[in-house]
Amino acid sequence: MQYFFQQIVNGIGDGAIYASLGLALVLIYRTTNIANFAQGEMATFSAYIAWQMVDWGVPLWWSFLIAIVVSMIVGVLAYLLLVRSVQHRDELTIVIVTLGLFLAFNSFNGAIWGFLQLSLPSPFPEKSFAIGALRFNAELVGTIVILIAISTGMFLLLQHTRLGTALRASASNATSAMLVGVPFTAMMAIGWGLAAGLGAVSGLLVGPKLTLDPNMMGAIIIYAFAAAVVGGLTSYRGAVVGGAIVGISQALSMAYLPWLGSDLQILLPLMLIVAVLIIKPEGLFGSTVVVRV
Amino acid sequence: MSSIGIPALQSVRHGDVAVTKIGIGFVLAVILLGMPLVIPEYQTFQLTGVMTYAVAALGLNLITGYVGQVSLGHNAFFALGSYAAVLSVVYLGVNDVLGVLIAAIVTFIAGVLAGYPAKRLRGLYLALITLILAVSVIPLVKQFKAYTGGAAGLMVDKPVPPAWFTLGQDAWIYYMVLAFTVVVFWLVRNFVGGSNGRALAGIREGELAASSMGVDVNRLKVIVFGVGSMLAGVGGALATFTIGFIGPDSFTLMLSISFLAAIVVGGLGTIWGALVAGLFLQFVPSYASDLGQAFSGAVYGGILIACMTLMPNGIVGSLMKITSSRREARKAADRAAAKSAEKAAVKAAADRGVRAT
Repeated sequence: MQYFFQQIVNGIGDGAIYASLGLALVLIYRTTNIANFAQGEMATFSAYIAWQMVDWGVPLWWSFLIAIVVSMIVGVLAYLLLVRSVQHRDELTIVIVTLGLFLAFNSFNGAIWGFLQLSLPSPFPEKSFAIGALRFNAELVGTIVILIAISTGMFLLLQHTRLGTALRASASNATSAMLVGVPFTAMMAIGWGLAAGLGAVSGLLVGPKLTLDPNMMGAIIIYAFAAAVVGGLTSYRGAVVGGAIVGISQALSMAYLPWLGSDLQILLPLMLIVAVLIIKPEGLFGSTVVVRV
Repeated sequence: MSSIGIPALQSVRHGDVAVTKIGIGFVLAVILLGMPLVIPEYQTFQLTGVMTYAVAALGLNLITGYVGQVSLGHNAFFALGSYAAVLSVVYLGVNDVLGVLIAAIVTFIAGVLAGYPAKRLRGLYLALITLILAVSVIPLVKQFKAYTGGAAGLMVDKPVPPAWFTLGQDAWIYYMVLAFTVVVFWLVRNFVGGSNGRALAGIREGELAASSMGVDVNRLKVIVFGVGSMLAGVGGALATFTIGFIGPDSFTLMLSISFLAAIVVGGLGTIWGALVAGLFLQFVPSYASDLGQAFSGAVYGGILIACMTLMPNGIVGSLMKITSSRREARKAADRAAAKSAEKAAVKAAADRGVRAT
């Protein structure tokens, strides 16, 4: 039984990382109606910026802060320079453009920093402590604390500030928002900037855990999408719960279903998501989209 | 046309078009059939590759270009077709052509099964489900290592020409693939040319409107997903027999993105765009990878973004736009001519009437 709970704890640790990137996806989808396939590669870029800062001798926490700020600026620029011109077009166009952005970031990272694996130092101490028979290491606790902090911060920002209201207004009805004086383009750009910042946080959490290379986020973006989809891509709570579901099911299948083999275990959480989508296409927490005829 | 007055002019032009079309078709057939006789073996092999990719790209163009569904799982069906063909040749002892047909059946069924959720899910969600399909390929191939050869892959026997065929193996495979390609393009052209094509466009432009016009949207979506996946399977099977090797590294998510890039460049929702896509897939990756590992992604990414923002109709789509606007201009000129002719006729009749009285 203790083993079982330990697996759940470990699963939540991984799930928190999926959730952090999933939150970025939800944020961008809620504010700009775009699913950003490049989110993971942008996060990898953030991790590289942090590595570069550390390499230049900047203190670790400052490096991370610089990486987050730079990522937010890049997110704003990506919106203004590229995404803005296709935003009013159909979903297909937007998906294709963000896939293009995915490839562009991926090869940019490779071109600048190479394809060899680099290591990014962890911001958390190498300590662990026990509650009863369960072991928690500092990294896991830190990851969860950060996740809670950013999701609370996001909730407060979006629900309880003027900026948040303006962001939500321009996403839900651009014309009406503009009519009451909300600067639409600025809001979209801010949405992309915030999401890029969130993505950066998840990149900085993943970087020390895995090794830093251009394809670091390849698997994680897929799990993050899976997590976000559980919430119908529109619910922050859904993304967090989704992240936990994906992380825990992954940990449990590794622990209890060894006969599946490591290859099929990769697929198990994804199959779960497919099942969710087939049974409830709007996601577990998503609101059903009502189309006006 | 409202040119009641002068039908003769119209029919002459129609006849011209028919004759030109037959002429172009004849020249094209001679070029395609004669190609292996004049070009070196390696280029024959490359052209065969172009056709195999074009068949698969045509499938994705049906799904994405004609119906507007984003599929990132084309690599999965490409892989499924390849393995189905190879395994049925190895284990069932069928010949290669039959192997390709088995691949077609298997991928059609798989496509219909995968397309079943697709009918409920539009755009983004479908992209995500197919993304999951796309990343499942390598784990599954590794899982069934005993049959698939795992990560190392398998050598595949290329089709062997019969004794009377003296042009060599590459040319033989070229003709086999050419036959499949011509049949596939002809069938798809007929499929999208008629009422089905208009129904598909209806779904793409507005599902609700299409269904209220009596289009069975769900059924058509599933069928198109099945057919598109089947073409991926046929293309994959042909490509594998052409290359003589099968391994999971050729079926990554990157392949799906390349297919998407290629049909965007060729022209979404156009038949001939798929042919341009085939050329693109055969030749661009090797040139791009010459530039370095990082650049192939940059080339694809840049092309995707540039095409979508600057040339959303792709190469073929843009060309068609130019010719169709020319045709419009010509029609307008015809109408004007017809009108003035009518006027002249009326005037003449009036004159005659005046004279008669």
